[in-house]
Amino acid sequence: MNSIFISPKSQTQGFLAEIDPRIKILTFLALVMVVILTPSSQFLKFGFIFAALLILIISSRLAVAPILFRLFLVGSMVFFIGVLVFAFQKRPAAQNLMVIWNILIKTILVVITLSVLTQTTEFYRLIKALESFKIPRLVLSLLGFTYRYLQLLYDECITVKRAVDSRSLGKRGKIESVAVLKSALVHVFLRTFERSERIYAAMLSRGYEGTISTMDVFFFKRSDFVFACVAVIFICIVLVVI
Amino acid sequence: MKINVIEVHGLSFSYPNKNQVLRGISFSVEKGESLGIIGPNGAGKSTLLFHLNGLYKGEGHINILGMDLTKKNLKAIRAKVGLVFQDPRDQLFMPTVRDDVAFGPLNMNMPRENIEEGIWTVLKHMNLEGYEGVPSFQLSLGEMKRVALATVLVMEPEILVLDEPSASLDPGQRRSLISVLKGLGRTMVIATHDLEMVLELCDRVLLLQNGAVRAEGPCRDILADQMLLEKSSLEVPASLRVKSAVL
Repeated sequence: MNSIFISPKSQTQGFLAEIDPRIKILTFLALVMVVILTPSSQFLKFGFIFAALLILIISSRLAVAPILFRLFLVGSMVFFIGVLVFAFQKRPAAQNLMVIWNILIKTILVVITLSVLTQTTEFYRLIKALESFKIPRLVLSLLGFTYRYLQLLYDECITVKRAVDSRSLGKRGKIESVAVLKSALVHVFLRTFERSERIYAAMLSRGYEGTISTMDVFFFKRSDFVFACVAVIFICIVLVVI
Repeated sequence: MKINVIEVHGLSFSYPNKNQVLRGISFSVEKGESLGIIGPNGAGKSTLLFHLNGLYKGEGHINILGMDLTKKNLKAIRAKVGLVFQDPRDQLFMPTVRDDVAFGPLNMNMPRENIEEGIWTVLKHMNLEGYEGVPSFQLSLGEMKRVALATVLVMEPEILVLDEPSASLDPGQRRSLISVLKGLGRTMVIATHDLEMVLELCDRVLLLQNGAVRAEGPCRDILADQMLLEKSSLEVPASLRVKSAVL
């Protein structure tokens, strides 16, 4: 399984991967809040945050392709919103541009921030960290299962696509293609459902009672403390100094 | 004195679509015994195995290690009955081999030091040393099978229930799996089409057909009965055919 959205194995090397996920969640969420609350005209602040994220990406040697792909998708959405803004808002063009800029820069920075977090923290460690913030078990179970089932859905899509391709001779017409796609999608969902039932049964058979336990035990290390201090100083500089 | 560790009486089960899969099945398994469950596709082998771990609940009575299969005893029974699924991809759902192997013991609240030691021991036993940090989905099917077995063995179950353990394995992997299972010396229930493996591993055989027990008896008696096996879309294992031809 290798999806650009659902990275089954996050990067486990580099200094950010070593940082306690609880610290990372807190600092990155704080950064997201700063980005959201910063007025759109504060170009320098956005530049400063972007530079900091870039340093994190480079120093952690993160794969850039998944980030760019997510940015491309989000960019397309923002473009669509932009068209709507220009079409329906009867404001001067400069104001409309400012609205679009506001959405665009904040979306880009939030996507990059969350990408850095998820690419340096394995999903189950993130869940475990959220557990320590007393997030309800039900929510975390739902998150865990959604993640796992998305992986299954992707797997089954690949299998069904292979089956369709192996029996496709030559080009199909558009109507025929839609019919094939429709029945293939039905198969994908049915197969995913059946497989998810079997996985759930396998979990139950090994004593699963609603909590996914892992061997990870989090300890605050010196590096976590240093990272947290640097993050707080950075956020203070962005909020107060610049 | 012989002790029955599994007792099943009059077990019937239907899926929600009213398709009756098991019809009044009764059998028992003694401590240390290996029982092979054979039968054509759709005979109800896997469904029967799922009952032994309490995943399905049909009508009838099941007693495991002196405990009736009830909601109250479910946790204790699941800790004692290790179920290995047919498709290892269904059984491996954690990010790494280590996490997958640790999943069961953590749910059983075993001490973490014991779990670490257990993981190391079981992976060594399954010839999977150095695989701890490898994501399960990156393994070959044979390796996945071994990891799936390891995830159950680490819980030190008293009864091992295996669904088609040799399916999709190459001859070498199948051979090594058989030798691992032979060396375990535990009570085993094995559902399979691999009758040669049944001959090697099992003391007794239960032949299922259309959800009912068609025959039960010592391994060699059942597996040498050509008429009986052919009526159930099975065939006498090659090794027994060769032996009878020589004699």
